[in-house]
Amino acid sequence: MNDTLKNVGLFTLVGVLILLTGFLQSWNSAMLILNMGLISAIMALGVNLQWGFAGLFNIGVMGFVALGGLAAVLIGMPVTPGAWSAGGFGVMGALLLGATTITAAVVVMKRMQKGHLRTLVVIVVLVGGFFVFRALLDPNVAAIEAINPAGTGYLGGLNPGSEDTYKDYGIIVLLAWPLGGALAAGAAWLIGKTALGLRSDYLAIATLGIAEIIIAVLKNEDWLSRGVKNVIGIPRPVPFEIDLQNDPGFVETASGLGIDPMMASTLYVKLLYAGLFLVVLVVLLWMAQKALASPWGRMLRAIRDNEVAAEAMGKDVKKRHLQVFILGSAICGIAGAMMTTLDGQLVPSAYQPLRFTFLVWVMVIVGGSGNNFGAVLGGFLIWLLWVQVEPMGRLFMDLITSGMSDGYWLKTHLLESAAHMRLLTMGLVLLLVLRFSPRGLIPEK
Amino acid sequence: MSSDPYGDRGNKDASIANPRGTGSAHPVKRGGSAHPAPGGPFLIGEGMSGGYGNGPDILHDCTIAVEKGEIAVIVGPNGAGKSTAMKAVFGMLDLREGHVRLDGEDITALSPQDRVGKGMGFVPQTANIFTSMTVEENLEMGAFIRKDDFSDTMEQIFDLFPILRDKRRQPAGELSGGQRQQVAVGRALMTQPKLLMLDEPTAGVSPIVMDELFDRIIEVARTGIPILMVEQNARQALEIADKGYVLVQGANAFSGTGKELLADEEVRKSFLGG
Amino acid sequence: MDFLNAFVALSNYVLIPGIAYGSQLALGALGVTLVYGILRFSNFAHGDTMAFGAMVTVLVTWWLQSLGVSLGPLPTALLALPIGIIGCILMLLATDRAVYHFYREKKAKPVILVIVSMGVMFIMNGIVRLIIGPDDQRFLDGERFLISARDFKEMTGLAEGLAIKSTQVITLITAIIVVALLFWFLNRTRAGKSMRAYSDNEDLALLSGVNPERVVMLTWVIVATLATVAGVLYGLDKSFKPFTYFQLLLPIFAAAIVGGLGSPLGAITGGFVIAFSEVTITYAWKKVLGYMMPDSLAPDGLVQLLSTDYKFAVSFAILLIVLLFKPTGLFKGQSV
Repeated sequence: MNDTLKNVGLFTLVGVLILLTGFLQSWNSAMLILNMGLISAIMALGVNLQWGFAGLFNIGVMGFVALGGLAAVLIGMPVTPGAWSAGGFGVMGALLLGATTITAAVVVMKRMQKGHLRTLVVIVVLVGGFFVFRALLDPNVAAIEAINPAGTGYLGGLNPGSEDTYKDYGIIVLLAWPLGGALAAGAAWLIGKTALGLRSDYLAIATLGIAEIIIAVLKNEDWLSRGVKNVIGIPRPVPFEIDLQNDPGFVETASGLGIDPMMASTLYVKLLYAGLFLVVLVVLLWMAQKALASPWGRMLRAIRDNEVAAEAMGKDVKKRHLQVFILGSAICGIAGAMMTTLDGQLVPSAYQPLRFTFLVWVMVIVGGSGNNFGAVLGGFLIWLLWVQVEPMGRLFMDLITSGMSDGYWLKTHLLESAAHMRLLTMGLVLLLVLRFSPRGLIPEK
Repeated sequence: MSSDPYGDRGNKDASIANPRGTGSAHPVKRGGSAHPAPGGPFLIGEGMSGGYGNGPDILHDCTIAVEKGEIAVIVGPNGAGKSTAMKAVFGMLDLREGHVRLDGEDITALSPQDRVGKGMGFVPQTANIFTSMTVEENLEMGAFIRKDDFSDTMEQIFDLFPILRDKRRQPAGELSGGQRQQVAVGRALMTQPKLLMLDEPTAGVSPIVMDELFDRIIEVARTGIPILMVEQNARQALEIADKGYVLVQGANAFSGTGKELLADEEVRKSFLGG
Repeated sequence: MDFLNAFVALSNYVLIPGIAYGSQLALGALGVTLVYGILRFSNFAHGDTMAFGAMVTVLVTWWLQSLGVSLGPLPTALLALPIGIIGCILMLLATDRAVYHFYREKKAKPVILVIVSMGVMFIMNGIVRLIIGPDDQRFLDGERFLISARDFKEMTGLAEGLAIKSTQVITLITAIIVVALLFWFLNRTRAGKSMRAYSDNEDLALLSGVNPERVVMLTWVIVATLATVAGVLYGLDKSFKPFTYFQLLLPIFAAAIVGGLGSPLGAITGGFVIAFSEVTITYAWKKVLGYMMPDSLAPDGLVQLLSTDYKFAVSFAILLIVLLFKPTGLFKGQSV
């Protein structure tokens, strides 16, 4: 079978499965799968850039996605009245001081002669800096968090509206997507600079650690992200369902098409999201394809396939690795901002490594490492599976327990456990693909 | 390589993958058995063709043999497949064609472990000691397949290489180049092999140490153990050799006694620098 | 100023919990380091292996408890532990046969095995949740305290109480026994030496007649034992919840890397370094400092360097510092 034909077939299969969801379950579920599929495909594209093109092992995807989510809050939400004057500037000052402390320590490390004195000075700078930092930070944080803790208690974002009108400026959230990418890129630069700069490369453990730290910050720094109190009501770049239902023109059109206006409004909103996401995906995919075919991309693959030879030819391997790591992470950040926009809320405790790091890896491996289209396909397919395994698991459990009498402990237990079939299935899919089609569904050319 | 689904994509991440000490051999699988094949030399690798894994053939109809009480030397230019021929005899790579016979038995289907059991001892060219283990532990590992008491053998090896007795409790990785080679040879002798195979035992050691190593090797040969050896220092090796093989591109180019080869005009011109 | 009370408070909140937690991390890190040294990859499924072994133990404990079996003051779980270990060994050996073996035959690079271990992680995680559910499970019985805070105060007349939980003592004693056995095995037995030899130099071990499959099998048996013991001790000391075990992966990896991957001695040191840094940095020092300083200087705040939510950040920061100054870890590991 011709390769192109096979690939088109695979994508059609995913499309048909989504349509089937629409016919058999509900069109809202189908649209939700499509939207999250688009976002997953973007995340997979980012990881594929790192692993597929450059062999970089990033297991901190969750952290970059969460940073994207933070961007949606920082852009979309209105500024909390009085928060900046109460402590916002103080916090910024403290953070600046923290950064200065670290810079000072680095400068000392570089400038001073190696020896006990240097170690001592570095420790004094760091410890002293930390206490001054905390002394400056803590009261300001307390001041911010004291402002209406049940409703805000954080700095808020850059939305020009007030607490009542900020949702009218929903379009501004689109700015959060590039900002999310930028935040993720910044974090990636920091990690890459340290981890890739070490004598041997420790990127994997570094990304694993930093992702946990980012989540800890989001959970804990209430002044920034309201922590576990979550930020809800993030404005949208698309209309609200309720507004559509109150719009006579929309109701009329919907009725004209023979669709219930309520249903029509939810589908319409999701369609708009899908359109926006699709544009982003197509642009990023196009860019990734261009990059792959460019001299830069060829050089990356040359480094990947034979680092020694590439280095001998004068290629700066570390620099290329840093670049591709930043780019891939930025893409994950963009996807994260898009996801938080779609959800309309930031829930730090929802960021789980299995879901946001390892699942994306499954997408890339199953789709085909090193092939952008493979990554996109993997994103859609694995997300679809992730969502559908639960009902399928329930069906499966119903089937195997059908012979057991009601109330029998095993039956109750199995039915209750159906939800956990999800992780099992993901692992199984990953292992089966690795075993029988190790290069993925759409292999690298 | 992108074409290899089990490759590492150039990943050098030490926090997840351990690059050290990984094996490169594609040994003959376990479970094969030997069958009697009487006659012929004590050890012979006959008409061997093959390479590593799915890679291209490196050996082409190559034949190497050694008789009891002899020293046989394989020489040849870089990349001629000298080490590969040695490994093939030892079962460290799958032969596509050819046979290996030892002491009247066909051992082609035997795994390297089983060949050790049959009395073959092998000293690889590089990575030939356990650097993190003590000298004594290295020797113990040499005797791994022996179930009997091997303290006598260890004493004999300490007599052969007295410096090792002093350093027995030191990690072998801390020794000098020449001492490491002694550990390597000692390790292989621990099984009391019927045959010793040495892959460039003098690589990277100083000339004085090299002479001493050659002396020791002759000493081992005098105890009746036949020796098959790959050598970079062709002239010196051929001088002590009973039999010599010149390999070129994985095939036999010349063979004869050491003296014959040293006297051969063509061999001298091409391989011994005149 | 009251140094005695300060020391008691320090022991109560930092030293003793740190030692217990450090032992648990050390046992976990030993498993990771052995797989890294011999199978040459970082096993992402290790946290879930711990959870699996602990789960079997929990189930057997419940069964024993329902039969009325008890060890008196000791937790019944200790009686169930051997069965948990056997369960975990069987699981790992089956996994190796079904999954890892194939990639060894293919001579797959270690990174591929890392990805494979992600799949195994998903599956084990799923199995544990399927069988026992995602919730907290209690299986501790027997005497809760060796010395309770009140008894200690009565005994010594000090203002500060020192509570020593029986699980903390059990953790330490078990860890010492297990580690001693492990080191005896690795350094004194023929099989242990063959494992070290294989880790050091695979090809040469082959030449010496070591059977690689046997070494790998032995490794899984030891790893399963270590993981189950670590998992059960952690579960007894804190509580059994599948997700916590998955989260332990970061401090365990950090411990193994800080100590020097591939070095068993390093894994133990790393475990304690990470544990003590976490506990010290997230502990509120108000009480201890209050005893140490004159009243006028006593601190107002909690004097907590970082909130407990940042404990992962601490493991990671320590990891980074060690790597910057000593890239091979505190003990020379295999990662150069």
